[in-house]
Amino acid sequence: MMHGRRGPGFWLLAGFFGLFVLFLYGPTITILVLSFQGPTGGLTFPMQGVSVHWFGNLFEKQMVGDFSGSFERSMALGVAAMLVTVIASFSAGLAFRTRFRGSALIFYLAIASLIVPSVLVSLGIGLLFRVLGWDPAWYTSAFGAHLTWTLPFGLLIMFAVFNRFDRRYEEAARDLGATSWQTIRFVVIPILLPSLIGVGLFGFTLSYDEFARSLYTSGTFNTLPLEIYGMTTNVTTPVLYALGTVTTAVSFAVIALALVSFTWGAHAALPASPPAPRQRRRQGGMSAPLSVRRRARVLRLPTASPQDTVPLANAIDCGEIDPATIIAIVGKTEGNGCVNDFTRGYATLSLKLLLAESLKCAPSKIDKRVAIVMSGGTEGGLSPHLLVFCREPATTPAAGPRLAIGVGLTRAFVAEEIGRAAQIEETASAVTTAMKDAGIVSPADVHFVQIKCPLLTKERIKEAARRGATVATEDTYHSMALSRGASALGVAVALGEVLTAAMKTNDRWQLLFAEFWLHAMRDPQVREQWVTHRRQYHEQLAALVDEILRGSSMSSKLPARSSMFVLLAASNGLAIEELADPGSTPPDLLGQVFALLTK
Amino acid sequence: MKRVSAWVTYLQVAPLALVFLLFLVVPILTIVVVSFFDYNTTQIIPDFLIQNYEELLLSPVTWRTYAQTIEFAVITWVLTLLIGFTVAYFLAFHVRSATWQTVLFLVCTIPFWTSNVIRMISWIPFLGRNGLANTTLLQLGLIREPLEFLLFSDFAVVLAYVHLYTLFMVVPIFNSMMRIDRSLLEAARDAGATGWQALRFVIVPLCKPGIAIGSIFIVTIVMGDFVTVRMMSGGQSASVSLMMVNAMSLLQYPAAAANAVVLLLLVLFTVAAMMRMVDIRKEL
Repeated sequence: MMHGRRGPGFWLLAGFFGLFVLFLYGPTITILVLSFQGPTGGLTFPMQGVSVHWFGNLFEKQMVGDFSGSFERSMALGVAAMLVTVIASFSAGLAFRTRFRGSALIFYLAIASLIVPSVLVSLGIGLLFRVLGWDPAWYTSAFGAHLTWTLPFGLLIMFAVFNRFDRRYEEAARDLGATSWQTIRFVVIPILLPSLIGVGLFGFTLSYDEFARSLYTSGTFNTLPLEIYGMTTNVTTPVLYALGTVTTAVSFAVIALALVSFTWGAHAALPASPPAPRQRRRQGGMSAPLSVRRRARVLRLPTASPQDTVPLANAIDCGEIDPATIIAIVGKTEGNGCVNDFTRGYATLSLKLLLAESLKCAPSKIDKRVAIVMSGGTEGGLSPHLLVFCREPATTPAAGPRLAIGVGLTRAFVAEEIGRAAQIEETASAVTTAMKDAGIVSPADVHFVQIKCPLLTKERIKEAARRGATVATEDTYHSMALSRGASALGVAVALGEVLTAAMKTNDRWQLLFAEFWLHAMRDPQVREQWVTHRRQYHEQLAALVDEILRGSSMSSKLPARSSMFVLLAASNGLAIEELADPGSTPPDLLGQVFALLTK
Repeated sequence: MKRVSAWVTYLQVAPLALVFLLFLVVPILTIVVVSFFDYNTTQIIPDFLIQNYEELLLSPVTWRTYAQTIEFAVITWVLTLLIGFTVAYFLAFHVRSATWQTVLFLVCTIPFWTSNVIRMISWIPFLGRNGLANTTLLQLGLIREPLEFLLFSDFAVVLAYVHLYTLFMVVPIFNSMMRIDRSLLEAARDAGATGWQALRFVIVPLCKPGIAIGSIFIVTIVMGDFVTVRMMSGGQSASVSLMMVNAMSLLQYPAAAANAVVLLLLVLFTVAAMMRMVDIRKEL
């Protein structure tokens, strides 16, 4: 349709368009020329010489009424209407993005405001002021009347603008922790700035040129269009054209201003580095040793399909991303996210190929360099995208806490390990590795852990069976849940968040816990972290014991802290006995110990 | 995404709603109320009379004026639709570079940003008895005497309407056209449609919302107009609004108000009929 040579149809239409433009501009150009009519010339051609006689005439107050006064009033009114139109339309445009009671009513009022003939609005406001005994004035009644004309246009333009606004920008801002106000201030307004300027200048000219709505509302002093209209009936010299030329020149100046600021706005709207949105975190935060001079950077790139690496390739090509600094890519693809969602592997492969090319290494080497986590399931509000995590060298050490990223990899799991203790343990140590990699010391500073975990397929299950191993589940879909669960628990173990409650009901957890103790005591760094949590745990338990005793009007023979240790030691000991020989310990032994400790 | 709480939404929409309430709803209600008032040469007297409506609707002048206004509206509508659609079609489908599209679109819209009164005045040296049109035609020998119908006539009124308001057709239709998925046109072509068939069966149906919006603008503007009629017909033609303005200048406010109510009902009825063709809110 849009290719190839231009046929006769094009030239015919182009000719028509040319005539239309001539039709639009011809008369205006005619009066532009005639406004320079010589002093003896008349309202029509021929020109009797060329002069600026009529422009001089225009500024003599007696000759043509109050030109400068009405011009000033129209300008002031136009500017006021412009400001109110931009603010009220933008704000209403935001409101209309959510459903609210009365939205239809207000929408239809706006439409009504457009279609009710201007002269009726003018008449109504004039009558209203008369009935109330108020004097109409250009800055009250006429201002209101103009707003009923500029606001509907503003609102409709904002609707159109917001309908075309890519909400992913807002989602991205929110994902990065911006508040609602920051999102509007630093994302929505800069992107929409050209449109807002457009709405403003549109509002200005609508008001500046408005005639009918000013008719019964402007009161004692005329606005410019009223003044001009008055002149048409009693001025029969080219001074009329001079006036036309001057007002049109003002309109053109406004349009030129609009275009200039529009172009400028479009360039200035997107600053190279917007102020960082406030991180959503508690105090303490993401500290990293000051000796580490690195800076984490996250980019969100939209993708059109699983194989779409163009946005990333562009970012690399234009130097926005140095491929060597990429440590992870986390993304969403169009697939359904189920067992046979091959878009994930497809997307991962595409990324690997791109990175291998950029880094000039074999695709198989990428696995060790960059953690690629693709997941499917972009139904609903989420759009396919890539989050690219980079770790760049920084020239200066960071002043305060900031984002730090680390990567850890587990070994490959065999089928029977998926969803079981081995996966939990391996994941826990990978998380510990990732924390070290990021330079994060305290688990309290870990805010987000993203895991890509394996699932069971029919082939893997068969392969395990051939080795005589059993898998956690034969249901491949269910294996995804188990694998995720094991990973989540691995994270919890590494961060010291394991639920002791769960351990009481399942001996596997006690076993795991015991294993973790050993792990923690062997690894000094894990031990250090763990001991910190352990101490907090002791304090909380002691406080709990104290609270229970006070609440029950009993008193302890030992200080609360000592009671706590006795109970803890007893329960741990009992747990180990139960683990070795289930049912060997007397029931409620712990309760009896507790009774002995109190009086 | 976090839901914005309701009161924030209401606060955001409040300024707009307030303006419409104070400067649209209340004034229109005032017109309705005043249309039942009594009046004499110096003042209006609160009352409940239907006399204003009786006088208005029983007068043949009223019916003639309404007929003329509707005629102007229909003629203008047809002309602006044909011109507007063609211009929009050229811009949307034949201008290939986005920059040129923007530039040419701006060229069309710029005159709209200038004063209507001035744009009407600018026809005088063009269409007058000694104007450019007559002079040229005389010089070419196409006519022997100056054409009198060019200025201060119904022709001039329609010409001015088309000149002033075609843009209201161009913009919404252009907007609709730009939203047409270009692959639909490829599909039409692949399915063997000629250019004309693609226009008739793909583009025109998809432009209906734009056409409806443009038509609503044109019809309501022309039906509510009095400046153009007064200036361009030289006082020879009438329109409903002009009738109303004349009543106002004679201080017959209730009579003008009654006329305003009738005109408002006519306009709303026409628009309601057009709105049935399109859900405007969906089409923005």
